[in-house]
Amino acid sequence: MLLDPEFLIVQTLNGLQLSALLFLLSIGLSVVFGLINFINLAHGTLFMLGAYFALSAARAFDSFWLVLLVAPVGVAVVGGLLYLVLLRHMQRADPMKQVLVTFGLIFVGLESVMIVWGPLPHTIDVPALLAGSSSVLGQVYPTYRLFIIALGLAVFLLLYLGLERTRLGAIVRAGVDNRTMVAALGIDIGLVFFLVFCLGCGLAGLAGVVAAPVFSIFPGMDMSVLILALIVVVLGGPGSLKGAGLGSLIIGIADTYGQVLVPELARVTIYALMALILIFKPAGLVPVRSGH
Amino acid sequence: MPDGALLRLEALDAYYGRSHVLQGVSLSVESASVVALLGRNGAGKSTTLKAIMGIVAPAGGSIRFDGEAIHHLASHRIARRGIAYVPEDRGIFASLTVEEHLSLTLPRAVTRGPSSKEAIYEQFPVLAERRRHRGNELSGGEQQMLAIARALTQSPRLLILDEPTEGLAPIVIESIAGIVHSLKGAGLTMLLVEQNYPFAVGLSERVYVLGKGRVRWEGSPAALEASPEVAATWLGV
Ligand SMILES: Nc1ncnc2c1ncn2[C@@H]1O[C@H](COP(=O)(O)OP(=O)(O)OP(=O)(O)O)[C@@H](O)[C@H]1O
Ligand SMILES: [Mg+2]
Repeated sequence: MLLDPEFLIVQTLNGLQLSALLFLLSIGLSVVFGLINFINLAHGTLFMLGAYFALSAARAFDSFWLVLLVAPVGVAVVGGLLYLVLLRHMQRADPMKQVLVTFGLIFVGLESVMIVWGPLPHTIDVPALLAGSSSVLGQVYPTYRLFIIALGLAVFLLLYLGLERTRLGAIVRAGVDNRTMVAALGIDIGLVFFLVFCLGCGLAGLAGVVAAPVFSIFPGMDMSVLILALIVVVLGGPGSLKGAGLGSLIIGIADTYGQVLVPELARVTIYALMALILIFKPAGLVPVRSGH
Repeated sequence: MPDGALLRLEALDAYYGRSHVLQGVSLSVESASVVALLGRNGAGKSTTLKAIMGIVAPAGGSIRFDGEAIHHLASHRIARRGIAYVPEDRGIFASLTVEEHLSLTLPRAVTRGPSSKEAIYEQFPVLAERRRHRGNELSGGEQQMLAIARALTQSPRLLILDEPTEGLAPIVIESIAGIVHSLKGAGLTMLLVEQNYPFAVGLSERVYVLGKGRVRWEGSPAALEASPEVAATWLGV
C-alpha cells in the first residue's frame, strides 16, 4: 500500500491539509506561550467558535469570502474580551491555576455553543468556487482541501515577513526572548502582547472557519485538535514560528499516516514521536529563548 | 525639587520573597554628574537599579525623577521619562540583528541627531561592521557595546549601567571605558554600578557604598581613597 503512488499522493495531501489547520491553530498558542509562559487551554475552543461563527455568518451572508473575514474577526474579539476580563489578571498566577481556569473555559465554551447552536452536528457547504476537484500529479483531489493547504502556507509566509521584516515583528521576537528588557526600553510590551494574543485567537478562529466545510461542526470538535496543537507547540519550541510550522508539518503528516496505517495505535504513534524528538531536542525543534 | 537632583531615592525598601534586600536606601544623582554605586556581591546594587526601572517593585520609600514620583509606574513608562538601562546580563536579544536592536525604540526613522543609527554607528564602529549579525553571534564586548548603543537610541536624560566591564578582556574594558568617558564628556548623567574600583572611582563625582542592603558610606572619590577602612570593610579591596 505504501508504495502505491495514488495512496501516497492523497494521504500526503491529507496530511498537509491537517498540517495547515494545525499551524493556524498552534501559532497563536505558541507565541502566547513564548511571550508570557501562559498556556491557554481554551485556544481550541476558539477554533470551535470559529466554525460556529462561520455557520451563522454563512446563513447571514452569501459570500464565503466575507465569512472567511468576519468569523475570524469575531473570534479575535471574543479572545480579546476574554483576555481583558479574565486572562490578563492571571499572567502571574501559578501555572496550575492557569490550567484550571482555562480548562474550565473549555466547558463554558462547550455549554455556550450547545445553548446557542444546539447539541446536533452541523455542516456548511464548500464555497462554489472551490467545490470541484483538481488534479495533483495526475491524482484527483478536492480543490477546497488544496485551498486549505495554500492558506496555511500563505499565513505562514505573511507571519514570517511580519516577524522578520517589521519593527513590530522585531518587538515580538525580542519579547519572546526577554520581556522585561523590552519594557525597560520604553515599549509597552503589554499592548503588543494583547495585539498578538488577539491575532492568535483570530487565526485559531480562521482554522475553525476553513475546517467547517470539511469536518462537521459539533460541540467538542475542539478537543482532538487542541491536543495535537499542544503537541505541536511543545515539539516546535514555544514562541517559534518556524517551530510551529515544522511541528505542524510533522504532526499533520504523522497523524494522517498513523490513522490509515495503524489505526489501532493512531494517537500512540504521535506521542511516541513527540517523546522521541524531545529526548534529542528537549527545548523543541526550534528553541528561541536564550535563557531568561 | 529644591536641590536640582535629577534622580532621588528616598528610604527605598525592597524584598525578594521574605528576604529584605534593600533596607532604606537613599541616594541622589545630580544633573550632568556621574554617580557610582559600589559594594560587594549581593549588596543590593542590581536590585537598586531594578527598582528604579520598575522591574522590582519597591515595598516602601520613594523614587523621584526630575521631581516626579516614578516608583508606581510601569517599566516602559519609567523608560519613556528618559531613563535608559544597561542591565548586568546586557539584555541582548538572541534573534535580533544589531540593526534591529538599534531600531526597536525608534518609531520614526530617526536619521539625524546624536541618537540616530548613523551617529551611533560612527561612535561604535565595531557595531557598524556587525550590523547584520544577530545578538547570539556577538562577543561579550560587542554585546556590551550594543547594550550601551541601544540605550543611547532612547536619547536618555539618565543612563543606568550595571557593571559594564564585568567579565570582559582588559582591552575591551578599555574601549568601554573610553565610550563611557566620552558620554560623560558630552554631559550625560549616569548612575554606574561597578566592581571595577579604579574605573568607577576615576569616572564618578560621587560614590555610594552599599552593604547588605544599606548605604554604608557616601562621599567623593577622593574621600573614599582617603578612607581605606571603608573600602576594606564594604568593598573588599
Ligand atoms: N530574583 C531573585 N530572587 C531572590 N533573591 C534574589 C534575586 N535576585 C537577587 N537576589 C538576592 O538579593 C540580594 C541582592 O542581590 P543584587 O543582585 O541586588 O546584588 P548585587 O549587589 O547586584 O550583587 P552582584 O555584585 O553579585 O551583582 C542577594 O543576596 C541576592 O542573592
Ligand atoms: Mg548585580
